[in-house]
Amino acid sequence: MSLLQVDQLSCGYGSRVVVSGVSFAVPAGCLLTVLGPNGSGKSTLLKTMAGVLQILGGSITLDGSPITKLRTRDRAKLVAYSPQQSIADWPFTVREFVSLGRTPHSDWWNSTSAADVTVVNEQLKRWKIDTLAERSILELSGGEFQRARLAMTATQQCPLMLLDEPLASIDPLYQYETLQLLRDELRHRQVSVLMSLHDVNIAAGWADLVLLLSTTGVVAFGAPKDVLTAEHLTSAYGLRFNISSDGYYALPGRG
Amino acid sequence: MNRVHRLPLNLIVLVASLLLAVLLFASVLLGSVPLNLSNAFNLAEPSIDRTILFQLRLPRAILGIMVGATLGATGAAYQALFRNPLADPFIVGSSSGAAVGAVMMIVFGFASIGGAALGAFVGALLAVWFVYGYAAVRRLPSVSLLLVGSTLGTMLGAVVWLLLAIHDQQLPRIVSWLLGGLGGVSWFTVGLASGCVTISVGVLVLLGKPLDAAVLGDDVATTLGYKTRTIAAWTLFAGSMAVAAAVASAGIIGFVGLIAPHLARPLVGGLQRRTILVSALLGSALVQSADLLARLVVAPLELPLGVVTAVIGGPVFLWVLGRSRLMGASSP
Repeated sequence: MSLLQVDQLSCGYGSRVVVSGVSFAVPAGCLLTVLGPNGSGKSTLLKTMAGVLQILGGSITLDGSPITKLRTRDRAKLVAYSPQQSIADWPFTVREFVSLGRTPHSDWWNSTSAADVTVVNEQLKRWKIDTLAERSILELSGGEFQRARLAMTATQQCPLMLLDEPLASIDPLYQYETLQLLRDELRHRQVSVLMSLHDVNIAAGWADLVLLLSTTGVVAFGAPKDVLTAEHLTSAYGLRFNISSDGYYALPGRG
Repeated sequence: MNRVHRLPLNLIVLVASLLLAVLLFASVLLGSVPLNLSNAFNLAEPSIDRTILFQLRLPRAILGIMVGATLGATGAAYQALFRNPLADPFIVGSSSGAAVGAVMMIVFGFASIGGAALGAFVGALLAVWFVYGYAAVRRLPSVSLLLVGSTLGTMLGAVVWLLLAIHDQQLPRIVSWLLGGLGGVSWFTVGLASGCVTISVGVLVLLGKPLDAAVLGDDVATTLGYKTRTIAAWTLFAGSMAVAAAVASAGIIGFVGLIAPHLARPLVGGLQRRTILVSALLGSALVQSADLLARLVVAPLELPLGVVTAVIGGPVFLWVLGRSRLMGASSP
């Protein structure tokens, strides 16, 4: 049975529908990447699933129950979300910042418990930022901060993680390491991850499932090799990719 | 590598409290008239020393602690709520609301029966409620409260000037209130203010955890399990209650609420509960020191407290700004 089931979902801002008729299902322990051009509604979809935006139609079911019926606080224990825009404008230390992921698991008057500290330490190590723990997040490099942010999201320990462009503006080595750590986290805790991306090759190489959007709606959903065909990509991006025989997607050359 | 070295919170609170105790003692002992403590505590016979101690200096010192704690705690909480290092306790229109309320009471002749304080209290609360209500009805994000607040502040400031222009015979009285000061308060005022301030500052300290989430933005705070509107409502309610009480009893004292959180953060880090607590203690110490200066520099005359905090606070703020680059002010 699927952990996450999305049926005929419409999302947008107030009365303005950005994307509609979205249906897909994700089993536990799966990485789903959401691809699509700017303005196709990747962020809107993730925000709606996170509960930040109201559902305009359809349903989202997590583990058999509709998440719209959940109280904000209960949903925070099931769905973790990392937004696209930077949230690093406060002088938290890396440890303080990552610890904030434990918020839904303790009452608002409580300080961090011993169990929380264990989880935080484990995640700091897992994301290889334990040596940076006492530094201010304002002093981190882009790649280090991206990891701290993922560590914070993982610290929330939810069965579903929603990551809006977690690989944006970081170098290839960091991207590779981040993807490996993410796959570790999936294997380790059987969570499902929805992640929006712009890199077709990363989706092809790392995702279990791909949801391809265009500005007019869903183009395709399924395994990467079925979704990432030349026709689908052309209809989504309005651009004909050069696909090599070993499955590498390249932008058309300038010739 | 620039590690953050940090002392234990208990030690910081202890040292700050000791500093505050010393300042309180100094504030009671020092003044234009030397105080003989043994006379003051000789309960057998009434003395001028006793009157000075118990009717003038002690209520004044306690009010200073309360007003300083209000400004420090509210400044720290508002900076987190608005995710803006330049937010201060007056940012959501409470100072201008208070000013209009007080000036109207003075102009219409209710000043003698404590009307100015009452007007300030009501005016401050009304202004903040308007700002919050407008933002809530139009569904604006928390950060926009700041813009609504400063717009209302400018408008109400104009109303104050209009009232001053029309009723210029009341000018000295109004100006002396606007400039702020701790002098000449009754135990009744001190008691009321202390009640409001203690409760409000307590609530603000307890709001520390929700405010940590609020700092990450409305979206993340929501997915961490908080309703951002509820956090904003409680923070504004507690903050404006304390600020209204402080402004009603001591006028408008600038810069303390802006500086205290920036002095606290290098000591305690980014988490709001610690920052609000230590900022309250430092705020008290700042107001107490400023009041000592206001009384001693030109004794037996007094400088307006709001003037002292602005003249000293401005350069201090610039120094803090240059030293710490504030918070997100510059990227690595």
